[in-house]
Amino acid sequence: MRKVPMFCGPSVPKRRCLAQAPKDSCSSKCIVPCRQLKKTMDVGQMQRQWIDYTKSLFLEKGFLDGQFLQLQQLQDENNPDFVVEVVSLFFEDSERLLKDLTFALDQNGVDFKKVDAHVHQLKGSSSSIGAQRVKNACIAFRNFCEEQNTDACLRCLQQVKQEYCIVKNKLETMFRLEQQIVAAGGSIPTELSFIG
Amino acid sequence: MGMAAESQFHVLAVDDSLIDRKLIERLLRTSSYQVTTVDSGSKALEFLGLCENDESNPSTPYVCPNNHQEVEVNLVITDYCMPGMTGYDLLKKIKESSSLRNIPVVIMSSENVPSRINRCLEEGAEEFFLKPVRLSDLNKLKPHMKKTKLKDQKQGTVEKLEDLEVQQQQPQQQIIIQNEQQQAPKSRDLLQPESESHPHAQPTIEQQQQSLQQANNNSKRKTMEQGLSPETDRTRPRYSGIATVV
Repeated sequence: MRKVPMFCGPSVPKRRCLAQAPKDSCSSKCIVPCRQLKKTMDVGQMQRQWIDYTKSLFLEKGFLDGQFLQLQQLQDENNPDFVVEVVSLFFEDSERLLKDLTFALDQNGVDFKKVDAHVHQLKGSSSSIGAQRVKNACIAFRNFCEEQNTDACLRCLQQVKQEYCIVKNKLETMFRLEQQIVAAGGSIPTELSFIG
Repeated sequence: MGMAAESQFHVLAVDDSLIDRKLIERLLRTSSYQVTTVDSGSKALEFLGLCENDESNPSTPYVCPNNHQEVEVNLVITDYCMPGMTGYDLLKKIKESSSLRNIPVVIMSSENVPSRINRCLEEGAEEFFLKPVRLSDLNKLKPHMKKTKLKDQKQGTVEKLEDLEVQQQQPQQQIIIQNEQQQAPKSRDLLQPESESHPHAQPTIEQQQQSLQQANNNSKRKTMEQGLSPETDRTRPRYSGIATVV
């Protein structure tokens, strides 16, 4: 299996990647010739796996909220990659802001206005894609910016980084499952009625 | 109004965040609007054909004669919190401009600050959306755009007046706009910031009152308010906006 580069360290799920691309979609980058790979999972199974996984992100720990469903609703045949595009922008944006925040809080005289502006942006983009736990960590962070509490801000930064890494890995896993479904000729389930 | 007509409505979306621009663009396109996005208030004004003649006196913008607005914009939707010119500043500039003030403006903000919401509505914003904006919010845009089309008729040559009586009044330099029957506004208090959804009728009334103030004719105003009653007999022609062309 090919490893997807990760910003947040190794987080590839332990379970082995079960489905592989069909012959015709095999690109030159494919390390193992696809012909040798056995398709061990049918599309229906993969779709169920995707639903279970997506469900867990919403219900179990609240990584995502209803806004993510809105993004999925806005994806259609004319914009098949909308969710991946927007979420990729979120990754880029967040990584830049986390770097800026790390730098800003490392200064002798911390500019809390600047810190707050960065956190405000991160809160906005996490809320726009439905990364609920990142958003909540940002809300707590902003309170300490107001108090000008450097130590608490540093702890919040760690918290935000951690939440960001978790949701990033979860989303990447979800997208991988989607790629496998599509590669096997299936479509991404649209029935997500489990989210109240 | 069918889909074809609706798709002609053109929305200018202003947001400094790329993610949010992508999002609002998709939301609007999904709702069959034509969309232009820009990342700042000043670019929005530039697109609308408005520029400032004097940096030290930003309160006197004017429409650049050589940069006339080519594309009609039916509505501006803008983020509140932006570096440089805020959404509120942009709203004020649009409402201060004689050529742009009829364009409905909608403000979006991630923060639910009642004083901010009030300020924007008092300055003439049609709606205030909390971010992230959802598909259901966009349903509130359409009535404002229909209204703009009506106002455009009022400003330009009157093409679609169905009532002969109205046309006969033209020599007296009066143009009467017939309200769309299905949009019969309900009388409601202006500026109810607490109410989550602003009734479609509310800004209509507001603008009608503005028109009336311009007309400076109290007897007409009285007629108008009677005409606004939602229970009025629908078979009778009703005039809901009167303006005197100077």
